Amino acid sequence: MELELPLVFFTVFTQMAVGGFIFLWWLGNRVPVLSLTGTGGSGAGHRPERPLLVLAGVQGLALVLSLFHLGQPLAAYRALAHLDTSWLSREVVLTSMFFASLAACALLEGYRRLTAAPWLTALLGVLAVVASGLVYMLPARPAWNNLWPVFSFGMTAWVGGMALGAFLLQGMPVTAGYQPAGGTVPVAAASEGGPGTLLTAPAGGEAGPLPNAIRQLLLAGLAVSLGATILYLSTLTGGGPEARATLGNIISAPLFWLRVVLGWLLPGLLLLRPRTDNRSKAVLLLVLVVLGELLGRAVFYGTVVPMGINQGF
Amino acid sequence: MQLGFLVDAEKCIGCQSCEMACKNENQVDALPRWRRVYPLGEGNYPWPERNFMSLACNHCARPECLRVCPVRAYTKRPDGVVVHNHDRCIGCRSCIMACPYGAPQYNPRLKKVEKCSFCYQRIDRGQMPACVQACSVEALQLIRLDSPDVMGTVDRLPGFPDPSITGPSVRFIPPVMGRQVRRDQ
Repeated sequence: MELELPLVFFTVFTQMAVGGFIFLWWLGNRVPVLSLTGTGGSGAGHRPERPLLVLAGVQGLALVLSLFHLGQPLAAYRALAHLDTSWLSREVVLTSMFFASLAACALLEGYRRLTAAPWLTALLGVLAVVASGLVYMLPARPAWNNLWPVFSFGMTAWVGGMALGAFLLQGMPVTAGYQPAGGTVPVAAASEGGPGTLLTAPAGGEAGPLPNAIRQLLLAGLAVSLGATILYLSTLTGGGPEARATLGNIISAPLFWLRVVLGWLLPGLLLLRPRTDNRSKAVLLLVLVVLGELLGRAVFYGTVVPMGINQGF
Repeated sequence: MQLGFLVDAEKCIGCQSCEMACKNENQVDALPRWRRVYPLGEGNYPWPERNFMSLACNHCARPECLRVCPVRAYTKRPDGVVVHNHDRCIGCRSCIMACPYGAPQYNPRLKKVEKCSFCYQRIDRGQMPACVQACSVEALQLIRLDSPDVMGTVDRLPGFPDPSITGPSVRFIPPVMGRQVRRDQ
């Protein structure tokens, strides 16, 4: 089984950075955790925004790791040459542009506060994930020749990005009762026991509606990811010999079952028990989800059966 | 114009002279095999037959390798030959994923992909490709797909991937079925 580890890390980390950015942006519209949308927050001065800096670091690491897939890493720049038909060229361009915009958001106060900056960054990120999925939509790989690669990559962005975003916001103080244009958004019940943080209820308090919403959104992501995988695997039974062989490889791979436990069941159980300590929970959640997604991607690359001479005969 | 290979599965005896000639002409390393002789599965016909098909790059009408290659290493010549530019290749292996026939192969020593060139240098000199020239039973021939050469041929044999994907420039003469003679009772 060829695990294609550089590609595994590149795709998963890229999707986590994209999902993490969209999550932080979405959250930034509700609570002043970031100065991303001009709502103030921790980046009031001219200093880099730490969560965005980490996301840019993850994305940068992903790009560096992708070079190890190539036989000639120093000639990687040539991959920009075939934008008219090659999805790989498009993926490289879009991912690089997303990285540039994300790094600018993290480092440049002026750029970050532009109304268009988060829109542009999120758009580039989504397009990069879609292009990345379309690289694998190949008639010669029947199990991939559908929208599954795009969809599953998007699910990694959702689940992995949210887990990473929730981890990055650990311990970040938020002002209870902050009032955006739409009205008061209670973050954590901070009336007693000092200020709450985004995912940590204050001493003696309960988590407010927003942490609950994040928890439910992440739980929904895990459920959709698991349900869609089951649906996808069931469609492979109706495919050609290569698709059926791929299905056999997946369900007989120990890594796949490890992925089921680490990436879906354990994070799901963890989220269903809201009263556990939130700080260690966010760390554990991130570790489990990242491990699950990495294993899932390794299974994706390692189990596919290509078309070939005498294949299926 | 589109040049192609004609593979006569009735004549082919599986001697692999074509493979050896290809390696000799192009000085290919041990691992990549630009041309390979495949057995035709014995279960594909009503009764057991021992036949072979000799295959290399099919220089397709709609080459997937050319479409997906991010560095434009592939070009299609006016005579239909798909040429891989070894100098441009960065070893990303996209073409390997996209080709239904396993024609492009990774060379771990050079860390680049390579494939059959149809011996286009020989063709330009008016010679036959090395594999065609080496076939002792004339099972492998160079044909023009826009000529009467293709009459009486088929575009696939059992075990050959669906030609509708890339339009491979290869035609086959299927093996003639032997007769099974037996006493009914």
